[in-house]
Amino acid sequence: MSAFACRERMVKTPDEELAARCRAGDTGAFAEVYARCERPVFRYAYHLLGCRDEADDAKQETFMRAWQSIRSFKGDCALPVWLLSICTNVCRDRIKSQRRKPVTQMDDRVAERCGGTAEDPLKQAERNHEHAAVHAAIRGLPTGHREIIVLRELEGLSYQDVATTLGCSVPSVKVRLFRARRLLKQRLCSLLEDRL
Amino acid sequence: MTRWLARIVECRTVAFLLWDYGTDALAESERERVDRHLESCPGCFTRACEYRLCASAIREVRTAAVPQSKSDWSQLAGRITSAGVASGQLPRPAHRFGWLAGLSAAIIVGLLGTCRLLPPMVMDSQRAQIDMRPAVQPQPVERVVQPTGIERPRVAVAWPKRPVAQPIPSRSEEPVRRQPRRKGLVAVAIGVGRRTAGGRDTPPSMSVESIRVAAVDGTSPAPGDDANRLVAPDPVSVAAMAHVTYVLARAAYDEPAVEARGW
Repeated sequence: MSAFACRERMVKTPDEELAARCRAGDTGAFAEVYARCERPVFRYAYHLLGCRDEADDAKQETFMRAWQSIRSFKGDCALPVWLLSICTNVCRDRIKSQRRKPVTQMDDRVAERCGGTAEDPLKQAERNHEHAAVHAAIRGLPTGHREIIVLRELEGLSYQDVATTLGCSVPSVKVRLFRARRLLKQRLCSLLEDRL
Repeated sequence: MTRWLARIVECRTVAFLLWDYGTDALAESERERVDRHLESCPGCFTRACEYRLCASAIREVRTAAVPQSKSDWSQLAGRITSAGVASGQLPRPAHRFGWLAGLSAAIIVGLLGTCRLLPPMVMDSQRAQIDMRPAVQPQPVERVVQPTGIERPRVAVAWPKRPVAQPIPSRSEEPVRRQPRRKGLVAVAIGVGRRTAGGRDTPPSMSVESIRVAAVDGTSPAPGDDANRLVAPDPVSVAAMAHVTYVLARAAYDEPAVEARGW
């Protein structure tokens, strides 16, 4: 479920109402928040961290922090955007700790996708290879560029939502996004040479 | 030249729009602008193709399956319940004021180390002794004042530097390294004049060409430093300079040795 889909569903129950119920200690309301926003948060963490276990931990940590700091949610942005901003901080902390303790992580996505579908195995292998290369290119970006690429291109947030998530202005988002895209294009050039 | 510059500016402007152009996310006006530019700019056209391919590759990754999360709500609910954290209740850090204790310890250790390394300091009573010692009265080097206005006076007023208090030996018979600071300014005014010997019909005369005033704290003007040299061509200016020097000296000393009154 993308962030847009989340926002569409939130029309039924406004964020303020959910947040107010959460502040009152209603775990049922927080369970609803979790059900709505768990997937985008996990996907965002997965794209940033590149490991399912790490993304799982980051997601749980994000929701734990959100439960503890629900009073700071003023309703000036959508609830998923607020959660993504928390997740950004959680992932930044984890990336820092990964730098201190470099651990070789195995991307489990290729292994998962290799089986289970009835597609031509050769095409599937090529596609998996491409996806892995694109993911490697995204993961090779600096953290700031990676965050903005994932939020805008993979999660499909608007410029305003990206700015809210990252805590910067919209023009700054545009400039940083342009630089990130340019860098990503340079990294993907070798992959896309045969297509050109 | 102008067209070339305009082309560069247009390329830079369009470069910001090329990704959104490749994903059809531009407004109609912007899209037409990019279309017009791409027709005439092969470099931007190539970049647009690359951006389009990158965007499509990213889109494929976006739609590709992301693995399911292993954790679910029950785990989070159990974590919330086991931790006993109410909503909106931030966890209390275990060592909230640990940094304060560390900072205090560091300050104490630093103070102890400083006291250990420094030589014995002058006590307040000793410092009072230093201050109470009478300062050597400055003596005028030369004072020549002509009462009549016919001859120009030669003014040379100088105060010797304030003597520095002698260090008081400490208990360990080691010289005290910290010297008391001289307070106030040392004002020096030196007039440079010319004296002509008088003849049978003409009396001897003196003329002042310049006067150097240096109101510095323990430093004297460098030789040849014209910044401190004030030309005083007439006796009035010389008297004014001397008066300024007198005021400065009075600020530095309680009792100036030379009074410039009447100049």
